This record gives sequence, structure tokens and C-alpha cells, in this order.
Amino acid sequence: MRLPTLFAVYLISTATAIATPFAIHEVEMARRRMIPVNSETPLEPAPIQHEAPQGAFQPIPACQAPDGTEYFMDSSFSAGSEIENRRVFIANITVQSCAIGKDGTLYLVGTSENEIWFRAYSRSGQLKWSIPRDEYCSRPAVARNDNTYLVCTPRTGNTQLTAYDSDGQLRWTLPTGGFEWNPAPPAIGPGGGIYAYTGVQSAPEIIAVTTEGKKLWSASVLSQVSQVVVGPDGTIVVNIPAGHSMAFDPQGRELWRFYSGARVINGGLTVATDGTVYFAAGFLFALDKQGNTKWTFKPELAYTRGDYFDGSPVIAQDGTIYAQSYYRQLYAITPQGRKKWVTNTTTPGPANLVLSSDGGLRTNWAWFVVSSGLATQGWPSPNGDAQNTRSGELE
Amino acid sequence: MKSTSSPLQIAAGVVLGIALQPLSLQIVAGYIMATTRPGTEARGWGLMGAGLLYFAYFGMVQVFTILPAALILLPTGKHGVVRGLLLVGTSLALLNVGVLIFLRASGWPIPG
Repeated sequence: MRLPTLFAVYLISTATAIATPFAIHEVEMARRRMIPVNSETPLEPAPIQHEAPQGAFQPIPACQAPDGTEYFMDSSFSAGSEIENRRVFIANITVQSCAIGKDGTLYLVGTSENEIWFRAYSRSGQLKWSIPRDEYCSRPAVARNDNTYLVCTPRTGNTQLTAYDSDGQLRWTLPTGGFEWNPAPPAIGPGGGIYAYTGVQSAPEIIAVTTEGKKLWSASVLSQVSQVVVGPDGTIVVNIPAGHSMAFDPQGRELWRFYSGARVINGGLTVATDGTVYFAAGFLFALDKQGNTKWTFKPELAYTRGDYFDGSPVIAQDGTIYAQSYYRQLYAITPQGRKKWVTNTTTPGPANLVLSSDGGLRTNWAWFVVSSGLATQGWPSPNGDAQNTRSGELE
Repeated sequence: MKSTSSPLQIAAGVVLGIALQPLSLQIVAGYIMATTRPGTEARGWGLMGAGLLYFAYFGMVQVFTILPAALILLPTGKHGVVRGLLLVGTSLALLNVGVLIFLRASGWPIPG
């Protein structure tokens, strides 16, 4: 080959290498644009919209007890302000996360007086135990026997999964490696096994751990995991903010992986009773047990304003999926992917969504009474159930 | 100057092309080291990101070393060495295209 020709081949090859990532991105975008916006007429009108209470309290409850009691934090994420018709429960603490055991015990990760702790309070507000933790900790997962599990990263590094018994006594600690400022919380499967993200950036993995702290298996994941959930059949599904979800069987074998085509930091996963995975990652995807798309729901403002689904969807007992977009369009979607109703708010804002067991649907900006409460099986909300136990343990 | 091209020169070009590859990473790492303070988060993320992108886009970054080397050697008449360099660059570029397509088809995220 003549030298000028070789130069030309070299330049074309290099240009191709430079253009390839952009071409792949464009192909994926073209594929996404082929999915039509859901512009069908809603099946029914939206329920009455009540303005979210204004004041010091957060409009979204931190957690809900089995008896229906809802616990709110005030605007500084404390539980210490006397306001409106709510009873002050615990004063002068700042709560990061909250979960409730089956007997009503509150498990809180939070701070007070410059101390970071993991605490248990009785349903009457009495402190049962407090564990100081000078660390970055995840939400806790609460087992049916009130053992608790959380992932913490000491300031010195090396993340670990820790188990406590119902009296707050340390049961075991399992180093999982890596450093995480915001560790992904663990999840408990139907058989009581614990699943957690290891957090090692060079070799990210999901691990399965027995209740006695023995590592059963580990499985590679594509990159950092933000959410681990468990389906009713024990399938472990992970959310990767790069737009992926991956599923593993209870033995750690990869079942499927799905790419949404969009890098969404605040996307989320929930799993219905029949095992359908609802994955909010730009659009809302319904995935069957093989990871194939059953349907895709694209928000109405996807083209006109670049709207996208934000945060995890929640699933009601009647199968309705509630999902909110960045422009606060709240959608009720049937299990078949039809638009049940939609609100017409278009002001952008955070997309938190909580459905109580009695059908109270709360967002940051409004609340609604809907036809059915949160589903009692599957993984119907980001933290598993109304109590945020992150447990799919069977009765 | 009389141009020369022999199998030995081509082999020398191939070896030179391969040997030059870590240089682009060193250039980027040197830039990060020069513009960040020791022990800072910016330096850590910068070095980690540069390493990751180097391995993901080796077919692109070769242009920083192969093309200058080829252009420098071209006037010297050592066309065999230039051929070897261009062969290495072309191979790396095409291999990178294949790797990126394979990664995407396998469901792996493309960094960047």
C-alpha cells in the first residue's frame, strides 16, 4: 500500500474510532425517539388534588407504622417542632432515614449534638438503644425478627455490612470494601438472606450474605449500584444510575440486564406481585421475568420540555403504578401500560412519592386519595414496603 | 532525502508505535498533576478518570502519539518506520471501534 493511502486509511480509522461513541449514542437516541409519547386520553379524571401542607413539616412522611401512624420530619429534617395537628414525637434530632419494625419500633439513622447514631425508639417514643456511628451509613433493613442490617463506610474507608439484634447488640460485621459517601442500603430476600452492593469501584459486585454473616456468593455488576430490590420469587434486581438494571436469581446467576438508553441519577425500581419490574429511567419501563420490555411509558412533555420520570414508581394493591416526572406530572398507569389519569402540573421539582397503606398518595407539592393502598406483596416502593423495612421476607 | 522502507523499518515503527502508547496517558496524568494540589479530591478523580478513559478510548488517544511521530519521521525519509507507526495506529483505532460496539451490544456502559 502506498504511503499516502496508508495515511488516509489511518486517518479514516482514527476518525471512525472518535465518532463511534457519538454514533452509538445517536443510534440509542433514535431508538428512544421511536417510542411514542403516551398522549392517549386518560381513562378517568385525576382525583381531587389537595395542596401539600405548608409549614415546617416535610410534606412526605419519613415512614409509616403498621397501624397507620405517619412520622414526619420538620424542614430541617428534625422531629422537634410543635406545629399543626401533629404530635411531637422525638425532639432535637436530625433524621437521615427511618424504618419501622413489625411491633412499631422505629429504627432511625441520624444525628444529634454532632453525634451520628443508629437508634431504636419504641412506639411511645422511648429510646430503646443507641449505637454511635462516626460513619456514612445507609438506610437500615429490618428483618422480621427485628435484626437490623446497614451498610456503613467509616471515615477511614472500607465499607462494611453490619448486623444488630433486636437489643442493638452487634451480631457481626462483614467488610465489603470500597468507600461510599452514600452507601446503597441492603435488601432482605424472601428467605431472609441479605443482599448488598460491595462498593469496590474496580470490581463492583452484589453479594449475598446469610443471617449469620457468611458470604454465600458474589456477582459482578456493570458499575456502581444505587438500589437493590428483591422480587417475590427471590429475584434480586439492581438499579445502576448509568441507565441499567440487572437481575440475578437467588443463587447469584445473572438472569438479564436491561439498558434504558438514559443516564438518570434519580431513577428507581419497584417490583409487582407478579414479578414485573417497573424501572423509571427516563421513561417508565415494565420488564417481564426475562427482562423483556412489556411496555414503555413516555411522559407527555418528553419532547416539548425534555421531561423524564424521576424517582421510584410505587405500586398499589390494585396494580396501579404511580410515577412522577421531573415536571411534576403525576401519572397513574394501569398494569397494561394505559394512562389511568394524569395531573397537569408542569412546575419542575423533586419527585418524591409515597403511597400509604390506606391509599394516601403524597408528593412534595400535593396529596391525593387514590383507590387502593400500597401493595402488600412484591417490592412496591423504593424501600420495600410502607414501613421502609427493605425486606421481602415471607410470613 | 531518499526515502527508505524495509521490513526492518516497519517492525521498528510497530515497536515504536506500541512503546509510545503509555505516553498519552502520562501526558494527561502530568497535566492533572500540574494543575491540582497533592492529596485533593480533584487530583484523585482526575487521575482515576484519565486512566479509565485511556483504556476505554485507546483507539482515539493513539492519535496524540502516532500522528506527531509519523509527521516528524516523514521528512527524514524513514517511510518504513512511518508505515509501522500508521499500522499500529490503524489497528488500535479499528480494535477500539470493535471493542466499543462489543461493549454496547453486551450491555456494558460506555464510559464518558
